[in-house]
Amino acid sequence: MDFSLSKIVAYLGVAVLAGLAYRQRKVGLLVWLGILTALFVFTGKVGFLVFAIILGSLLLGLPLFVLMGGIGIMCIGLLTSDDLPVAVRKVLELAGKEVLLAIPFFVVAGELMTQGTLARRLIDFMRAAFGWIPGGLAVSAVAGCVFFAAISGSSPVTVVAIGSIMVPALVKAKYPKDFSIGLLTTAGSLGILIPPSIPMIIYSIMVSGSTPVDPTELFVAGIVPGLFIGLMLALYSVTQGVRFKIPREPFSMDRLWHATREGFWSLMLPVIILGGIYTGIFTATEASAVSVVYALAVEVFVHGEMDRKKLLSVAENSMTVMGSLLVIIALALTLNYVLVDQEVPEMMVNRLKEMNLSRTGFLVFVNILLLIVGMFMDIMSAILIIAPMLAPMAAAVGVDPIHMGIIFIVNLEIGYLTPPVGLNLFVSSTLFKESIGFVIRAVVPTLGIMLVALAIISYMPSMSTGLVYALRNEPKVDAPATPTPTPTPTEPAPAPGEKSLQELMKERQQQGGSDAPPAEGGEKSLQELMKKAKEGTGEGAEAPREKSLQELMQERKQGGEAAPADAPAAPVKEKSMQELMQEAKQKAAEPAP
Amino acid sequence: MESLRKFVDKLDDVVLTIERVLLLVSLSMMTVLVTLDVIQRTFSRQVSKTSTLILGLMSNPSPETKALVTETVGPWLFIVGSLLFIVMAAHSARSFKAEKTKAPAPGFGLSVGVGVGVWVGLAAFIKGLLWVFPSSVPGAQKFALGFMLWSGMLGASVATRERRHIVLDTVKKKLDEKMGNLFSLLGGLVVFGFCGLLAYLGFVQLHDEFVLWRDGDGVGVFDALPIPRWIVTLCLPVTFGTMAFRFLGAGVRDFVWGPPKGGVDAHGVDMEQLAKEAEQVGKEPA
Repeated sequence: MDFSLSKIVAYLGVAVLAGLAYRQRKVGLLVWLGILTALFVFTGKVGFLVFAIILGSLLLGLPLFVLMGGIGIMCIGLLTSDDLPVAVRKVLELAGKEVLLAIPFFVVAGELMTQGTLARRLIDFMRAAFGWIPGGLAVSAVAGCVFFAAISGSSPVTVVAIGSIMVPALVKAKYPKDFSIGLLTTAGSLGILIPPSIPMIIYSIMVSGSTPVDPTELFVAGIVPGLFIGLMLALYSVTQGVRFKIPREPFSMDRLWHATREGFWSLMLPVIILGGIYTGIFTATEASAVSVVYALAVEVFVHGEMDRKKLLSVAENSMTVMGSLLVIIALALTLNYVLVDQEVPEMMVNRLKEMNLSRTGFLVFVNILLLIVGMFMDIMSAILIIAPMLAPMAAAVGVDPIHMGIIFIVNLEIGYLTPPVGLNLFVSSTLFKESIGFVIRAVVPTLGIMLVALAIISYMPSMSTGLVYALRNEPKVDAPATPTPTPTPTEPAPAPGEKSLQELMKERQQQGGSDAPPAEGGEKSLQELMKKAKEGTGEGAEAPREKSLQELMQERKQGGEAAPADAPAAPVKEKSMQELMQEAKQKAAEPAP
Repeated sequence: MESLRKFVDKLDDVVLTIERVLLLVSLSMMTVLVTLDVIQRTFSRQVSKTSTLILGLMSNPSPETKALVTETVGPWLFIVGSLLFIVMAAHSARSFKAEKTKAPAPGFGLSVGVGVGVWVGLAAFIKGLLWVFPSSVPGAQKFALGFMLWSGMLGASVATRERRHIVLDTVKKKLDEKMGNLFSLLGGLVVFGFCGLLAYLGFVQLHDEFVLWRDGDGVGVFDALPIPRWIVTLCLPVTFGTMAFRFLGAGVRDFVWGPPKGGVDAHGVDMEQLAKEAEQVGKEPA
């Protein structure tokens, strides 16, 4: 047993905290002390310190970024030969991830539309279009959520924007209260599955090291499953409308025309975003910028609903949301770096291989795991911590990375509805002034529908990947993909006198990455090398720009046509550490001639 | 004690005002740069996206058809489509305004005039942009990402003040008030230490980059413009430092005066704000 000082101090610290927290509840204290002692006995120094940080953070109610950063920095100090500033260099690496630009833009666009009049116009249109069918009002609520989801990218915001109008309307139309709240709480969760989706962008960033997924393709992949769940909820609404004998609204062409005219510009936003992404006109980042400009132009100039005060509020609110996300992503990257450095994903893949799980077995395992994770973890935390480990495992058993991404998102969408950390449950409970128990009971039937939908989506990959491959002009059937070798490639042994990839990486990291000053001993820093290269190519001459993932995908879609020789030069792009790692790994994996 | 709190509150208000200004500047610059970059890239293509889309719908077009589509059909379709779109938007804007002021419905002729005027203005702007930046908007993405980091980190700092960070408070919520306040103080001290460490590490990194820039000749600057890179790094010690003091202040405040209403349940989403927004949406006239 390891009795290092740090381990003993951590044990005593957490034990004191647990003692303070549970001094009046002896059983609770015994449980905490039991867990702590078991961990002390059965884990090593680092393992115990990791658990101690988790338990301590839970007891003290610390922010998530402190938990992630704390573990990351502790592991960097104890397990790697890197110096601590590598943690802040990871934060700075965010300024090299172009896809990350999409998040603030989608947040701003959603905020603009929420503070504007989009929700009301959207609902007016949906009521005019679907109000006449059995359960029509409930169907229009679901359709409103589906459409709003295609704008906001956030589930709680969808619940608030649509639910606050539709739940009172449904109750007034004599739908049972529990049905109305349950339906809107569930339909609101579609916000993260139907593009644009902020969790999808974060997912693609987090798995980029092992199984790169283009966020634009994830967006496309989310459409059919999202519409499928929407359709299932709509059918459920129809049956309930018939069951409760709810009177229908008469159909009126005049009303539909008026609602279309009023809501036309709001309805066009998802058409522009999704149409642009579908047809390959926009990448995810471009679509996000377009959505902000469009939403701003519509709300300010066309609807005339946005004044300076509201605009300031939009800017501050959206950046607060973005800020709380960014700091978590940044510190999760530090943790992710340690996991990769310690080859944790590789170990997990190997363990999985030892279990000899089939593809179906793996999917069952993943779904159960993610449903449990979704119950206890916030969606962002789950993506940041679990996705980098699960993605290579899925690739190893032949699950398509895009399909895996959708399974992940649908599972965590269900996590929005499951206690104790179901965010939509809390939002609904606060919004509709009902107890959390009432809301939990209210979502049970729709939760069942979601689980059925999850099973279908999981075992029919073509639902997620069909559209993606159709757009790529590649045939794709439901047959399992060929299991790929472990995505973190094994390196060929270096020739005598040659340095291994890991040694080179270590050296590179010891020099402090791209931004660090030159190491003593006269070794040149990246900046100096770049400067020299620049001097070699002539002062002011710009280095050729490396192509972004989207551009490469675009080129591949266009049949790999070479760009015209006189095509405009793109701006310079310096390679990030991760890109260099990726390239180096790819080179190392290539067979020697 | 009360006077100290008031002083700290006033100081925090000043910091918030500065943060708001910086945040607005960063967000605006980020949006402008990316938008200009997207416009520049879109309109400087050899083959327009409209033409690519039309060609994609055809099966095996001949070289003559390709030329016709790329040189004539695509550009004209875009011109007519965009003009129609803007004229419709102009007419809608005038109609909505007339409805609000209960004025008579506007005539379509004037809407066409306004729409054409806006279209010509936009076309002139795009032409001007392509004239100024024929090959690319230099460093747009890089600078935008720098502004994103600044605005995001400032947002994180504002989120600290407004208690909108995602917190692991399942256990803490169940504590009695006195113990909860003590744990808030302990938590505040821990996060103060953590953010302080990150601010220090950020300062070390900033110092290295600054020295590199100061002593090197043209080193440590962006490729597109000679703006030093350490300006981006500066956001780390500044914002983590501010966050450290805000977390400490929140801990002390909770310990002495108890948590503010709605603060304990903060879970990444400001419930009160959401409820307020919901009420506003519901109140808007149908």
